[in-house]
Amino acid sequence: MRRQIPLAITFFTGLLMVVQFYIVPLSFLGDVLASWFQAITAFAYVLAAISLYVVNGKRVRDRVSGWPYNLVLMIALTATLYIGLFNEWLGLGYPGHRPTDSGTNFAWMFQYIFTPLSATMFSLLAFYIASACYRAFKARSIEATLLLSSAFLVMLFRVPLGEYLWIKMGLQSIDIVWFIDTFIMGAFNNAGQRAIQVAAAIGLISVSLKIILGIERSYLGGD
Amino acid sequence: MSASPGLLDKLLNLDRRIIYGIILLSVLVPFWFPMRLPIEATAPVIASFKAFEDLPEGSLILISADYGPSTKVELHPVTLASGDQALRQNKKIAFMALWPEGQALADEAIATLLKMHPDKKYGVDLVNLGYKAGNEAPLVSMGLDFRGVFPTDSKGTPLSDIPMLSRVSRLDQFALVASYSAGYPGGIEHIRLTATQYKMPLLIAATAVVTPQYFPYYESKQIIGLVGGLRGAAEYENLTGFQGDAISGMDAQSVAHFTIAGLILFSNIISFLIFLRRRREEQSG
Repeated sequence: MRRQIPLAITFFTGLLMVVQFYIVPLSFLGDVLASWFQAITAFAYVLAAISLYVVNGKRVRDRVSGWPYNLVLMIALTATLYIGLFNEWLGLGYPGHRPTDSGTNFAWMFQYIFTPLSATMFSLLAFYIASACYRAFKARSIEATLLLSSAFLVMLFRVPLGEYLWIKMGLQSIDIVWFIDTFIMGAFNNAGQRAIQVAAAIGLISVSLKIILGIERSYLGGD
Repeated sequence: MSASPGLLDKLLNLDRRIIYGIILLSVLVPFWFPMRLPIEATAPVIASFKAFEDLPEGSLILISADYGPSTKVELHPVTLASGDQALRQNKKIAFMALWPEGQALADEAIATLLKMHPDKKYGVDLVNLGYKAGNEAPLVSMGLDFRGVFPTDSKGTPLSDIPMLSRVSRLDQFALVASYSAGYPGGIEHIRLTATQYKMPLLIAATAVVTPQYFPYYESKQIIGLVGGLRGAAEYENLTGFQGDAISGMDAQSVAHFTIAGLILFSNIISFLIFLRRRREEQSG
């Protein structure tokens, strides 16, 4: 029963979502289920926080390699929750306390801790990408050379410095930006992207059907 | 000319910290010595600019701030430039967010725009409807019952008490939807639902990494405009005359692109020289 009931709910809900799309009088069911989904997502955040505590707590308790990082995560999570939920040191902020309003401790934390940390993490990518490009981006085959050539054209001539140098070299009779937009982005990129997106959509339909029909059960967990 | 084998191998396996240092300099130097190079606007950005520009006065625009602080550098300039453009022409903007961080960034954009336009008022010209959980689920419901999804703004004020939205109950009462998107949920979900299912005119601003995936939708006219990455944001600022961060950031991006291209070229030359050396060694013995 522990497996049959979730499978039956999945089958019924999946079928309903497909049917309501084609039968107009039933389309309100799509809206109802979407609203339910929003509520479930909100609960999922609570579940995710509990799961974070459980998983990281176990790693700290067992002193698994790198456990201080798990501890830092738990402290940060607790501090964020506390500052979000409590208006002052001891009193619950609600009702009336809206943590995301400007001037609150939570807003301060978002602006001065989360934003710079988040931006720093993303900025580090530039350094890793540069290092990875230096080591891995090699013209070892015809395909790799084609990829390298198109990457060079886009990287160098889709920035103002490239366009400026192109004109300075006396090549203004050839519109390099138009060439990149029309051929590389408009033709090769579009064709490739369409192929990927159509294939991914067909794959998604196939996986969805397998889930609805109960063939794919890995989402239930266990073996 | 022949470089010593040891030197070639050392150059090929260059310490990553040297590469990091070169990249750091390539980003910093243009901020100290700005080049202020001209930036030509491309067709997808001009189309986005015109989408805002051609709306009549008083039109309602829905901007979905689907990004966080990590991608703020690329997408916030478009939020501000298009917001400023809309307010100058007496159009009204409602912000929403599919990302939790998007709500705070929309608040920040509203504060900046209100400072720039002291004659405009929150609730009359600008409003933040806030974040809605559920990824694409709010978009499904929004097209059927807008007020059901957003009964209040992010401060808890009922929509009926917000002058610019007091009569709004349907999505099609907005003249334009713009998704400034850094990933999932964002632009693709808006294309599938807001544009395709609910037939709303939609424009997308995306980070440079994901911009190529939106080109087919622009070509097929499923979206009416596309602003790609910092370059697109700089083009947009240029078109609107907005003094934002994107144009100044383009100098750093230009030099960084040239530096990375130079590093790739250099490593390929070294690899080629090593290949020639190995072939010579194989032939000789």
